[in-house]
Amino acid sequence: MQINTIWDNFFTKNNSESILDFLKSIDLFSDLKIIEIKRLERTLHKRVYKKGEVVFNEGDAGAALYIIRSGEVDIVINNASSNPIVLTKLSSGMFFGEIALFDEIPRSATVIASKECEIIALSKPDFILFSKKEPSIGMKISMRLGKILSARLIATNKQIEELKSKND
Amino acid sequence: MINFLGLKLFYFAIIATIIVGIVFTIKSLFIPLLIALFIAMVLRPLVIFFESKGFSQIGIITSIFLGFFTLVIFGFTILIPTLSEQIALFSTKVPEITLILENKFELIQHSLETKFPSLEISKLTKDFISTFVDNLDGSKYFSNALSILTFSMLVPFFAFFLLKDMHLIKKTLLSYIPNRYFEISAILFYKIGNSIQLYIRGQIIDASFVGIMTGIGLSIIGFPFALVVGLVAGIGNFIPYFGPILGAIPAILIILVTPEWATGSGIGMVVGVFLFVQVIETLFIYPAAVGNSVNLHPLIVVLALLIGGELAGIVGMIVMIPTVAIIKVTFELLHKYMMAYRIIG
Repeated sequence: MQINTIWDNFFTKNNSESILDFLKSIDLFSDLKIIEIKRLERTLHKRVYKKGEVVFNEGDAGAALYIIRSGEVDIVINNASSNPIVLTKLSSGMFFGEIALFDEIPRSATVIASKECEIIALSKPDFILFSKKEPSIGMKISMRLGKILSARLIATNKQIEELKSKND
Repeated sequence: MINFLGLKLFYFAIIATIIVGIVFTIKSLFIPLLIALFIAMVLRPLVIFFESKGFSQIGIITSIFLGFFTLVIFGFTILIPTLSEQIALFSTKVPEITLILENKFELIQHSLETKFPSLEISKLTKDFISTFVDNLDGSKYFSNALSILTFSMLVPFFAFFLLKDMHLIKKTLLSYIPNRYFEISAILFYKIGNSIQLYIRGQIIDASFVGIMTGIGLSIIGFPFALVVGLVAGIGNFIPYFGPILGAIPAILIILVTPEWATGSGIGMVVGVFLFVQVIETLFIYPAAVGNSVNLHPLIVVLALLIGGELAGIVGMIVMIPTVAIIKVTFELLHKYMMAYRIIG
């Protein structure tokens, strides 16, 4: 695998059609043209996680956004009074850890690979540097992320309202 | 059928052999590689700026290097004749300066020997002077390790590729990092690179200010060899604490051999120029350009100078200070982020 990494970076064209198509299908990059995704792809890191391997821990400093290319992860929070609670499962095409791109607050949950995963990581430093080099693409990604986060916030508010009305 | 893994292993072996070869000749490659890294780090923001304006990376880097070489050639034709004339003239004065210094040393030596006969002062001073002169001789490094021509070709060559493929090198290095340390490594690469970049850029701005202002100031008062003295003052400024003193040595030597400047008013004017430049530099330029990010303890500075001098003479002495500053910044950030990622308690 390590030999392949050298090859991937120096001796082969790593902009394979499949990864570009995959990235284009991700909601976060849906506003980008294929040529823009091609530029972004150079800054992404491919990581492989074994089943049960921790991607990051709750409370750690965060510095990257992760996109699941294959496999599945558990989002877990640790409760002092009980066992860890699995909040949700994320699978191929979904992403997590996006807050780390904008803020230095500690991770709010632990992420564990529940199956072997291939994950694509976009680190905060790479995103900052990329946005300096390609401001228009950086802006498109930031705007899209803002829309996704606000949609999630609206959905969460609705859930809270529903829970409140149930309790009342 | 081609065995793909075998082929890859073969190429991997070639790369490994090249790396081993580089390690064996590391002493001669260390300084050019380090200088190239400094250059690449200083020029990187410029490349990023033009990339954001839509220019291609390779076009920008090529233009920067072509511009730099044009500037060097221009400098050679305009400024260098005056400077080299001054250096040549200054070197004719060296025997005279040496003679005066020897006489002064002999006087001090004689008086010390009469007071402390057991110390063998003459042997000690001879050893000290020979080591000092040996260390100051930059040509020692060039003749032993590489010729100036190879050196001046290697530095831009390394700098060009470091500038062009920095992200590939970083990406490849990160691919070898275990998953647990991926995020901390990514952030450390960025933070360390940024700090070093700011430090080196600041030092270059600071040293250029001191060199140019000293040269101009001394030229205004009509001091001989003003450009040479300014050049040495600028280079000396890379060395904390001792830099201003080292930078003033040529001026002191010139005063010693030039009777018209060895007067109260002459010395006063030269001291005035040096003081003026140092005050402006300390109050305004250094805080703005370098700041307090890298404060090296005087003892560390002395040790770095001795090691640098031992490795590569005067070139090593100058390069070793930023190197130690880089090591210091690296360790500080490493400690900070290892705490943030709870790798250490």
